Amino acid sequence: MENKIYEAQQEKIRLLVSGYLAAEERATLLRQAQSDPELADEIEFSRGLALALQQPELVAASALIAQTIRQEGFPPPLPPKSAAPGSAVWPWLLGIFGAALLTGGLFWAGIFDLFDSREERIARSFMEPLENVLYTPESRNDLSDLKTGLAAYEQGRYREAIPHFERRMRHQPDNTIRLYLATSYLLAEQPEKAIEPLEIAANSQEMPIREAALWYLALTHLKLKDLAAARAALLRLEPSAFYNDQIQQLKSQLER
Amino acid sequence: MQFDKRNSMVLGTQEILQGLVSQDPDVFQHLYRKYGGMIAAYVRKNSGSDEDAREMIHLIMLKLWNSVREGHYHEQGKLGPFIYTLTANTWRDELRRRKARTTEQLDPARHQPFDEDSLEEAIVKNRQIEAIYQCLPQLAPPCSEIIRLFHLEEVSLQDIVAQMNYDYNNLRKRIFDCRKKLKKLVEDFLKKKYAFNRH
Repeated sequence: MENKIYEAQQEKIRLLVSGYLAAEERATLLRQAQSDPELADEIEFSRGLALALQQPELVAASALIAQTIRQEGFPPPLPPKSAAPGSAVWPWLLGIFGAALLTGGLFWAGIFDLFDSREERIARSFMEPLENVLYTPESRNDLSDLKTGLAAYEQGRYREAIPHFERRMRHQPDNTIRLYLATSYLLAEQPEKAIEPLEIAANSQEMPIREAALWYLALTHLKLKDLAAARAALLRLEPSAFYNDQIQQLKSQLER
Repeated sequence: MQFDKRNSMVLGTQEILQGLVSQDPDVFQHLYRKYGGMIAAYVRKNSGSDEDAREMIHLIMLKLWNSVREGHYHEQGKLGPFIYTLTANTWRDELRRRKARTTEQLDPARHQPFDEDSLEEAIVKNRQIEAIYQCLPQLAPPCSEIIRLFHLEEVSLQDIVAQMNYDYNNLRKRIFDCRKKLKKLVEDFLKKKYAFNRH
């Protein structure tokens, strides 16, 4: 921008950037900038300068993030699996094993899955609690059931979590709580109760919720030995942003 | 606890939050690896390009950092839910803004000044800002002083004249020249950065 033009505009531009320019003058200047790329660049530079001076920590954080993206490369990797499949089930199984040592008998048969079908064993190997289910409560009213339910869920006490989620659902139903409730049913060995909430959540417009619901629906049907329904759920799920690896592994196990 | 097999770091939520505030590069790396794919997938599935996805990842991570710094993140749910909601809301706002630009017959792809809703968006969308921040320390006096007084402390021209004992017209020219020097530094910085990182 030419020296003379800028000098005439410099205080106006500064007032614009700092938010002190009168509304009408602001609108005029911005309209001018739409058809004058040099003026637009000058405004952009002034704004950048003001931000760099006034928000140095924010700009430094942004620079660090930009550097991270450059170093890591784009696109980013798919999210890593948080734990080996079935890892959430191990503490539960160990608890049963301990009880079996004390009581013996038929518990041993249960522990060693002698009566479990192949489909149930496969479903159990992929079963893990929700991790990246996405939830920030919109309403902060009465969070007690939610907090108690989530605390129990995080500690693997799924039977304990269920009534809290059920109560929360009665008052403030939403798909994320449906997912927590459904997976609690599933992990508490009540798969038949998981189907309805999962079918509803599978119609969510939010991709992560829909994908999680369909994935767990597939596992639920597998647990109930309904292979056709499990395959149908997987078909609805593919291609998946979150579960692609698990889907391929599950399919290859089912085909053996 | 979250286990990142690739760098063998075990990071709990508290460690992540502390690492964000202290700007620990390992924590930013962990967050990018853990949530970057999710953010990109969401944007792409909702009419966004690869460039949009990249920008959104940058923006969401910055918003997260700022939320934690300002004490707005209360960990009511998990970190993942917070990030997803942030992504969904921010991208929805961006699409709404683009639609409005189309209606006004503006170029929807061109960033319009003061179009953003937040400081974070302004910083992410203006690629010069990081360069300006890096180049400011290279400005010697009196430019560094003039820029600080005029742009940071927003001192009026008359007051700067009195403080620095300049002639009024001379000062206006000085401001222009100092900005020109800074712009040159910024241009050179950006050329080096993009030449080095070209892919």
